[in-house]
Amino acid sequence: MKVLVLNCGSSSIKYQLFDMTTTTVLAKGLVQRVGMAGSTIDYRKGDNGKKKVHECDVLDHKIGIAKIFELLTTGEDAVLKSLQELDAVGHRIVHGGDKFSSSVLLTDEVKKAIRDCIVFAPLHNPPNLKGVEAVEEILPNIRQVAVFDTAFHQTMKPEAYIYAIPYMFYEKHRIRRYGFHGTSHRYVASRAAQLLGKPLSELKLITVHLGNGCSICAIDKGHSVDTSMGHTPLEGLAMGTRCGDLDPALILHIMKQYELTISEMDNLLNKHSGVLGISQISSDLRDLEEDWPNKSERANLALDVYSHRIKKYIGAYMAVLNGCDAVIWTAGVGENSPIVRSIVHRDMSWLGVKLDVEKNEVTWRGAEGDITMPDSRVKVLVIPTNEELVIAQDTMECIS
Amino acid sequence: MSQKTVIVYGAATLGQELVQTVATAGCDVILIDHSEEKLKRGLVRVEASLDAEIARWGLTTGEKRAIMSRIKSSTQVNDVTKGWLVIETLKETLEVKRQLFKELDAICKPETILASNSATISITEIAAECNHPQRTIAMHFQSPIAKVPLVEISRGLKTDEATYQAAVRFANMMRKTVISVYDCPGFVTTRIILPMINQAVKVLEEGIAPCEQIDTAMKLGFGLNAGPLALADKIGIDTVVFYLENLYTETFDQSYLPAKLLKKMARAGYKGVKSNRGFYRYGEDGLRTDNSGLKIEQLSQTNR
Repeated sequence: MKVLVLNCGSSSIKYQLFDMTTTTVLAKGLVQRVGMAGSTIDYRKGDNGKKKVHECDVLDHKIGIAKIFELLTTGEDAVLKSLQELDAVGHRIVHGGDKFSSSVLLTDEVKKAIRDCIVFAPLHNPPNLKGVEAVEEILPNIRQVAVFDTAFHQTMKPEAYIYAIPYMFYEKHRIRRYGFHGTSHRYVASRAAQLLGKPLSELKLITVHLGNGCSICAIDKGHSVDTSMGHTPLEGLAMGTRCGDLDPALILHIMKQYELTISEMDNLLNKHSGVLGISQISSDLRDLEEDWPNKSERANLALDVYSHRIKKYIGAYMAVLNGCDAVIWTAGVGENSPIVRSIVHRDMSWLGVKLDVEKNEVTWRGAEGDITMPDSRVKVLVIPTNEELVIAQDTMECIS
Repeated sequence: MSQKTVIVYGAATLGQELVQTVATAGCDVILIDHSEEKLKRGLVRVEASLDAEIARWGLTTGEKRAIMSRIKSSTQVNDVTKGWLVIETLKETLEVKRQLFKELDAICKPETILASNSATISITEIAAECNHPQRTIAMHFQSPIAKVPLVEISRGLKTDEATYQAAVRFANMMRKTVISVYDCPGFVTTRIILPMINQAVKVLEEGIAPCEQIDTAMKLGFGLNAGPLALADKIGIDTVVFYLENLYTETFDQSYLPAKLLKKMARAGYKGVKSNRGFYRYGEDGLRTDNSGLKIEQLSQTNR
């Protein structure tokens, strides 16, 4: 069984082709600058093959996907004899609103629902949909599956997802917490259960996903009960360039004082804030960690603010869950920053966390494992995420 | 490339603003002007304007680089053939625009759309000497183009539906709302705002209230972003006079007869922001440096 996983952004398409009989990656890559001059397509045969970059005009998502199909089926690095070999296509869809609590086979009805959710994710859902429609045009009979970033969090109860603003906004406009990175939180939670040797149904877990966007999730018996991202991916943890939690009155105050427009304020919060805003050095944690703690006071401050916010959420979620068996770190920063992990877990012994400093230092670059002392009541695990694999697995499940 | 490239003809203020807006929306754009020096200055100003956006968090440095990479410039009129759409932003006089359109019409393929940014001149007249008037249209972008979310589109008598639809799609891609009229100089905005400016100048002339108070009254009273005199300075006093005269010729409506003070100011070189002095004084950065505004006596005989 061969499954293609697509993640269509506004100007990029990430793809990965799986052979699900053996759960191996046959090929993967990235189309960049869709709809712009100088588009490129990266192509890698296998999981660790050598990257080849092809330059070509990719005017829209359909041309990009057609090009991906061409690379998969022709030339010396082809991995498919023909597109007939392809069994299904799985799509990452950012926002499913409150209509989808799991992955689903794509139908006209599902597409309409995704379209209805554009208002919640105006930058993401439209290109996601374009990807679905492009595949449909090229391969009219192929089965396609939608895997939503928001679906996993649909198990949250109203007390976790209702905002304390006039209820009319929820009733009329479905304004509420949705949460994101659901595929990743779900994957690392089930992987943690395997590592801990216990069924998911007996575990209380806190998963910390730190990539470009950052979110944290409280998981009880395998169900998301609370998460830090909200109606949009701006809420919660401090991120590379996003502010996360903020006194909402500040938005009004700053807009008034600097006479900012809505789009300027939007940019300020989404692109000029986070660790970049504090440090004025970089949005990339690696730049701030270089030579830590001697780089600069502001670099340290940015790291401290970033880490403090995570610590605060871990404490809050331990209270929400009434306990915690393990904290799981994942995604770019989570998997690769012993510094952030050590700042967060410093002085957490009262809450039952005893970090093994040495294990913390060596668990990175794709390594997986427990980084606590044997007598740590709460375990801390580092688990590389694999959203593409989850999408491929969900796709298999939905078509069988 | 030609599928996506837009040509902006004329590197003065409106041209600069338009180039910035088009490139920000993700299109490749070529700025054309016969003067190498004007082109250079135009591009420097575009960059400065993007830097100002970054300073107020409206843009990131990465986005600025991407925007600048989409902008090319040329002194060669023949480069207009590289675009699917040409928008001119030359001086607001019929002869200049008609001449350019005649030239463009001869060089460009018949399907290339020729748009004029004219506010007060009939597009039918501008296109009078074109062999393919069906592809001509007026698109009035208002300054500051990056900020004003409106484009007024005027179809000439011979403009075809395909040209109109393409112009609307392009405006929407720039994230602008479109208001459409048929061959109507002044569109809606200019037609209505000019008598207000003219009347404000008359109120000043008659000594009813000083500059600052006139602007404050209109701003607060009607929730406007700028008062009529500050607005006139921004548009350019000489341009306001041009607009008024064009619309007076068009309509013979008395409310478009330019107030005497406006003509005096234009002649004296008090052209507004661009000459650092109009109803108010301005620094090189275009920001106001005084609060009280022009005193009528300054332009009267006794105080020459």
